[in-house]
Amino acid sequence: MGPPVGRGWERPALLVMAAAGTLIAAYLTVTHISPVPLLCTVGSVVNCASVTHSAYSVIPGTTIPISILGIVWFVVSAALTLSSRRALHLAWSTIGLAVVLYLVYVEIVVLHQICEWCTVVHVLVIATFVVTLRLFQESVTTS
Amino acid sequence: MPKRRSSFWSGPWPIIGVLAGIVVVIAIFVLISRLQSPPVAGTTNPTPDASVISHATKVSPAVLDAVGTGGAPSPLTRVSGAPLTGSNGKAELLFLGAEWCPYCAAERWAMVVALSHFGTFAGLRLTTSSSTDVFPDTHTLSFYGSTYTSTYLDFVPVELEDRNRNPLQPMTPQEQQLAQTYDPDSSIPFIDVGNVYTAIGQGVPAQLLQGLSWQQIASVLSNAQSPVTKAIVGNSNYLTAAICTLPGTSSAPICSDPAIKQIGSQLPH
Repeated sequence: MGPPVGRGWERPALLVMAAAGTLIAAYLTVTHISPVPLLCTVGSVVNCASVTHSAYSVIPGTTIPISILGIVWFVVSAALTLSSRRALHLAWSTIGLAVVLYLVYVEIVVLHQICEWCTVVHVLVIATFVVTLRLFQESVTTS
Repeated sequence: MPKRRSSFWSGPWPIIGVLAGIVVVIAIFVLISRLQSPPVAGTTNPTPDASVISHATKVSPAVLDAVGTGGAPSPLTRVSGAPLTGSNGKAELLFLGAEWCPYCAAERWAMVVALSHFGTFAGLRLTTSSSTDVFPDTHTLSFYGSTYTSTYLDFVPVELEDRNRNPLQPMTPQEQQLAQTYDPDSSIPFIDVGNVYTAIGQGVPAQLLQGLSWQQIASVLSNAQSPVTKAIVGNSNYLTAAICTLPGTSSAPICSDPAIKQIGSQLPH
């Protein structure tokens, strides 16, 4: 008999990724709204300060940093991990994946610049999606 | 006993398919980016955060008055040439600079603050000075590709080279003549205020802006006690006072500001 669904490495991994994502999103938020310097590369292609202060760095129609949505997403993802609601978590992760693809589109196609901190967050969201998909697979195949 | 569903769904293929799809989508983005016209050389961000522009172009009169000269000496030299007028017949302010130049980067903040009293910018872009020069990567706004609308004066910015020192905008023969006359050492930034005043070289100390982002520089302009604000707004007030001496500009409301009038009375005659 194998371990219960989601009792392996997946849940700890999801929680670690949520914690890391929350911290990075919080850091990006603080640097956006206060004079805390953003530690990053400033080059012609990789330039996170340029991206995080672009017109796409705020929620449309507001001055609220979009990184706040990142904090919310990771916190909710952690809560869903603890609640073991697989289908809901997969749906939430799919929304995150869609937003990440849009932001990658903005970086590559619109701004022609990449933000390394944002890329780390994007990788965490994609990895979260993959793990939640795996957990959902487990829950479906063992039900 | 658990009932196993289709082997496809339980296997690795859904995850592999999703990851492959993500890779394909990103590859398409890269392809679209490559097929687009190349981004304007030297400009590192097409659209700045609206709050950066808002802060830089709407410094409150209270801050202007509180800063005054900011304790800095006048950057202006009195010259006596034929009045410099733009294509619309209004007095002209000429700026010669380059995107790689850290002193130009610092000075542009003061120019945006000053010129915003007389007109409106559109299309300002974020950029940084050269990464390999002194005061590397000084955050600034580029005039390249921007437009300026004013009922009082014409603003003619010439960004000679991008941040990688590639040619960007050539000077006209008239601009070359002005530069040779008033700036024989070809120092930049070079500012010609209607052939009445010139300002050459460092005005706003670039070292004050080291490590500060566009947002941080712009947002601190509301704090009259900040050394950055004193430097930028102090220099800007000198430029504003100089512009107020040009024909057709004195009716601008800013020219009635007591602090600007006081600074104007101190300018060399």
